[in-house]
Order: sequence, then C-alpha cells, then structure tokens
Amino acid sequence: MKKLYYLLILCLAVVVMAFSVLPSSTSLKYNLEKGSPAIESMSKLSFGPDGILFIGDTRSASIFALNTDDTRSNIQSDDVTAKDISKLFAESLGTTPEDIVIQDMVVNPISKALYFAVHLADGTPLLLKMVKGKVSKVGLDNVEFSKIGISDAPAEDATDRRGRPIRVHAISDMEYANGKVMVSGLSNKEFSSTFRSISFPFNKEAASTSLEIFHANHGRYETYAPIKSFTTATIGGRSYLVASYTCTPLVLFPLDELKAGQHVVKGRTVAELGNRNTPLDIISMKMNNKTSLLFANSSRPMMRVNIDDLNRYDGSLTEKVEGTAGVDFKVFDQKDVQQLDAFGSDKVVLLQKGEDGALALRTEAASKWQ
Amino acid sequence: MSGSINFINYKMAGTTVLAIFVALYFYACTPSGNREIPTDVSVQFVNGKPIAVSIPLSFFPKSDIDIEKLNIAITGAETSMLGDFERDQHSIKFIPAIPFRSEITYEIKYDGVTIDQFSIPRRSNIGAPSMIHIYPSVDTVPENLLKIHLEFSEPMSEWHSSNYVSLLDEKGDTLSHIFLKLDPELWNYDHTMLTLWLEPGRIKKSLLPNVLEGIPIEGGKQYTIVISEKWKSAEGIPLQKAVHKHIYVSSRDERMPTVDQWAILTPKPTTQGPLRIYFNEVLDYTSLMGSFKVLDSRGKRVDGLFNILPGETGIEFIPEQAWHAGKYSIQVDRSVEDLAANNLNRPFDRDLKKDSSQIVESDKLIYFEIK
Repeated sequence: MKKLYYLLILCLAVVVMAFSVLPSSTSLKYNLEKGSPAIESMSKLSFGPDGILFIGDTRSASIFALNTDDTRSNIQSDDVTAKDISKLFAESLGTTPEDIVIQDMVVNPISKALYFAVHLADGTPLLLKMVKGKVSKVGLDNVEFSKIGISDAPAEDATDRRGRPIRVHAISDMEYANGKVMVSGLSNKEFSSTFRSISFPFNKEAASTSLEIFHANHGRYETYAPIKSFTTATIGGRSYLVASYTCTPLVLFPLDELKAGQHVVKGRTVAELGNRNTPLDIISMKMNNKTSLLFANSSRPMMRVNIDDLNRYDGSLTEKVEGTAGVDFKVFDQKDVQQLDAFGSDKVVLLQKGEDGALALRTEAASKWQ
Repeated sequence: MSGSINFINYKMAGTTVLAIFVALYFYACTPSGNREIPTDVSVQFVNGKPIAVSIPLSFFPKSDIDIEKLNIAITGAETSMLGDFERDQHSIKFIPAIPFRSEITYEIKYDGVTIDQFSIPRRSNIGAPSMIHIYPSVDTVPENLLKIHLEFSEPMSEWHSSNYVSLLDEKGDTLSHIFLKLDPELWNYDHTMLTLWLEPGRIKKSLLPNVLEGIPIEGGKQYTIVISEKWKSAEGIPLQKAVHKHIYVSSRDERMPTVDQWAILTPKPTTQGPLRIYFNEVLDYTSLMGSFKVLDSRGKRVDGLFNILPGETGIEFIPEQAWHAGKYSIQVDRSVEDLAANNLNRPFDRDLKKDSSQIVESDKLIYFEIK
C-alpha cells in the first residue's frame, strides 16, 4: 500500500515537472521561447492577444512580446485610484519620487490589471503591475517571450569604441492592432519619422516606412516631423493610422498603404489641434454606440474627436491656417493628463498631474467625454 | 578487462559522490558551521550595490516569526517595500525589488513596531560627472541651427533635461520654448550623450510657432548655452560645475552640403597615412558618425578607423593595412546633415510651391586615387 502511495506521488511529480517544462499553449501559438529577455529599457507598452504584453525597448532597438499569463477575465472591475502614484511606486521601491519616471501605463483588457513601465534615474527598467491598488513587480526571469529588432540596418549600424550603437532609435509610440505591432520612432541622426508595422508572431526584421505630412499651419513647406503618438481607427469601413505630431496636426494614413519597405506615404492632415502643444496619448473609446478618439495633451486640456466627424470630413488641410482648423473637436476641463487607457468598455483610467505636483491615478466614466 | 576498469571507476565515482553528500549533510546540520551568530542588522553589497539586508532572529520578540508581519520601508513612508524574504538559521534576509538607495533611512517593522533602522552611505569612490563636449564645437552657428549634442564623462540620469539646459540672451535673460521636449529623450546607449532639438516649429518658416514667436536664435546676436550644475549622473552625483558656452549666430543656412565641393587629401601608397576629407562647411557631429565607408576599386569595404576632425569640418580615415596604389571611392550616407539639418539630398525647409519634385534620397560617392 505504501509502495503504491510513493508511486502515485512519483507519478504526480513527473506530471508536474513535465507541465512546468512544456511550453504553454500561448507560447506554441505565438512562437515564444522560455528564458530571461534582456530588456534594456521600457519606453512603451501595448497589450496584444491572450495576455501578451508588447514592450518597446528603445535602448536595444527591439520589441519584446511577453506572455504575462494574466488571462483571467475580469468584467466587473473595481475603480482604481491612487492620490500620488509616483510616491506610491517610489515607496514601494524604497526610493524617492525623483528617482523614478513612469514611461507608460496600459490596462490588460482581459484582467483589467494595470501595467506600468517605470525607469529609475539610472535607466534601470522595471515592469510594475497594479491589481486592486496593490503593486507588485513583474518578474522577467524564466518567462515566455519573443523579440524583434527595429533598427534599420543592424549589421551596418555604426558602433562607438566600446561597440555600443551610435544611432538612437527612440520609440515614440507603439500599438498592437489586427495582428500587427505598429511602432513609430525617431532618431538622433535626422529629423524624420519612421514607422513600422510588424506582423505578430514575429518572424523577420521589419522594414520601415517614412511618413510624410503636409503641415497646414506651415502652408507651403514640406515637413518631415516625428510622430508623437498614434492609434488606429476604422473610418468609413477603412482602417487608418491616426497620428499626432509634435506640433499637433492630426493626420490620417490608410493602413493598407503602409507596406514594409515602401519609402514615403503621404498622410491627410485632418485637424490642427493648437500650437505649442504636444499630444501625449490617444485612445479610441466607444461611447453611446459612437467611437471617439480621446487625446491627452501636454499644454492643453483633454480633447475628443468623433470618428463620424472624421468620416464626414473629406478635406485635407493644405492651406495655411492660424490656430486650430479641420475636423470638429471638443475640448474638456481635464488638464495635465499624461497617460490614458480604456478600462473596460465604459471607463477610462488616467494619470493626471495635480497643482501640488502629485501624479494621481483615477478611473472615470467614459460618458464624461461624450 | 576493460569492463572491470569501468566498474572500478563507477564504484569510485559513487563513493566520491557519497562522501561529498555526507560532508555537505554534516556541514548543513552543524549548528553554525564556523559562522558567528549575527548580532546586528547587516547590509549585503554585490558589485558595490546594497542588494539585501539581514535581520538577526534575536531582533524579533518571539521565536515563531510570522513573515507577513515583517515590513521594510523608508522611515515615515506609508507603503512597505516590494521584495523577497529568505530565512536561515540565524537571520531573515530581505532582498528589495531594486537595490537600497544611498542617503535614505529605512526602518524594519515587525507587527507594527520598529525594531531597527539602517541607512546606506554614499559610495565615496564615485566621481562627479563633467561635461566633455558641446557639439557643434564651433562658436558660430547659423540661425536655423537644429541640434546640439551634450557629451558627459559619466552616464547621466535620464529625463527632465529641459530643467537643466537653458539659453540666455545678451542681457542674460533666460529664453523660453527653445528646445523641443521629447519623450523619450534622445540619449545614446550608455547615457553619456544627449541630443537636443531647437524648436523645429520656430525654425521652419511660416509655421505658426515661427510666425508667433520667431526663430529661437537670431542672426547677428550672441547667446549663452548654460548647463546647470544641478544635473545629476545616473549615480545621483551632480555635475562638478555649471557649464557656459557662448555662441555667435550667423545668417540662415538653406544650402545643402555638396560633396563635390569637399576637398580630399590622399596619402601615399604603401603607407597607412590618413585619408582626409575636408567639408566646405561645419557638419552635424552625430550625422557624421558611422556615415562614411571607403571602398576599393571592386567596391569592397576597406577596414579602418574614422576620426571626426576638430570643429566637425572634416573626417579622416586611417586604414588597418597600408594603401595600395589605385582607384577608391568614399560612400557618404544620405543622412549626413549640416548644422541646419540640410542633408545631402534635400534642404530642411523646402518650398513646395517652388519645387514639388519627388526627392530620391541616395548615398553619395566621392572618387579618389592613391598614386
């Protein structure tokens, strides 16, 4: 009897060991490997399918796909709040708020857990997770992941005397949609915008596309400007990249025209959202059966543009304008919002800097921006 | 015979393994080995970083310690630190999510009561960072200057660079909206060089910022770039001193650099003398780096080292092996720019009403002969 008992335990141990070694179904589906990804920075985050988190790493000029294994559905999630998220993170890490920078915040659309890309002042990246107000560090050892490089020509890229790359490929925004990871970037070498649309699961090096816009405020001059933030939207049945630039024009690029390796794609400028203002984040939200784009801005309050209005507006700003122009947009009260993401279908989670300098985390009903 | 040798080896190997196992067992079961029982809270350093703290069991009021009741936090903080606990015979070790920071006092609390405090002194062997170079290194720049590059001796803290770099006019007043705020900032790999863009919207003619506020720096005037001594290295040490660089602004530069006007100084065959290329204007430092290749007559790359000449007015190439007599070429990357971001194929500011032709961006070739 005792022998049988030991045999059962042995079998169970073998089964447990086998399961811990075997790749998960997510890993097989997306061609992930197990190990410790050498993530050197975390500039941008975006959730893909099945709890896959994409991490844009400027320093290693790579995109990582990480299996968070965080796939328990949570439809009725409690609101999340923190009076000062920088202080909360700093205390959780045993340091001061000046020592940390929140690079990005995303919501896992399945579990509603919040993920934060955080950098220490010395550049050390950390992935933090918040569930019901409780903060934890996401371990990156022995995880399932895949990686793709985004530098133009890695073999030819110049290096300094220590073999470090000279050229900086900074990731200004990143988003997953319809089986593709889209990445906008800028370089320390030239004033221009590169854009990549990378199929996931990753297979080979992604060629870049140059995006060119006509700047309406500019009137006559061609602009090779870097994209600050972007999202994707379906407008009149066609998928578009909706890109916002450092000097805030809103530009549409048809996604089917953004083909790898194609050098220049011209965009249609549909709005000027104001001078001396940088769009920090854009999200797409469905409110009352209408889809809208919400903007968080550096020096102007939050704004909303309705997709229906974008669909109706078939013009392109090619004449010189003073101030704002183009498609209708509505300006709201919320100032100094730095990060936005959809929190379920009817709420938005945001990070907003208060007058006292505290960075507050709040959940708001999306109806507020109707 | 060979079978019996293998058998002996096997037996010997088994005995050795058994002996090691027994030794380890006895070592593990010996109450303290040769180690002393700790009496104080101690911080463990790895590569100079304080990665853990050990708390002797004697610090706890009861022998049956509940780890759930043990918290490590910054003194006075509302939130406990993230980390892992490990327990051994005499102490409990706390490994924080990131190493402890210097000049912060931490407290160890058990069941709500502070049982000890500790702090991490600043490492004494860390030097203060210094500014090595500000590019462009010349002091006269065009009024449509687009980029400056700051090179430091040590990796610097990232973020908030706009708090530490300012531009003063001739009266010493600080000017606003000079540099474009970028997220992420354009640091090189090891955080020793930062690229800053002067507000492109103010530089490009007819853009609204240009109309409303004018160009960031005006021709015929003098300015001072000031780097604050409050800027800290990644290790948290501020710069040795503030840095001032005076610049004199010349007229707008709207001409593209033209390789046809560059001068080539060729070395003699059978020597490893430098090949020197002198530009007809000052070019942008980072755009020069990694942008040149020397090719032989068959188009094969010649190995060697490039050095940017002082004032970014030229570049030299020193081959790894002696030159052969013959024809060569220099391939110049299309991204090479002057100080106003006019590159080899297009000016930074192009008037589409005058010229709306499609630009085909291409690298340029310069031919030369060693004879």
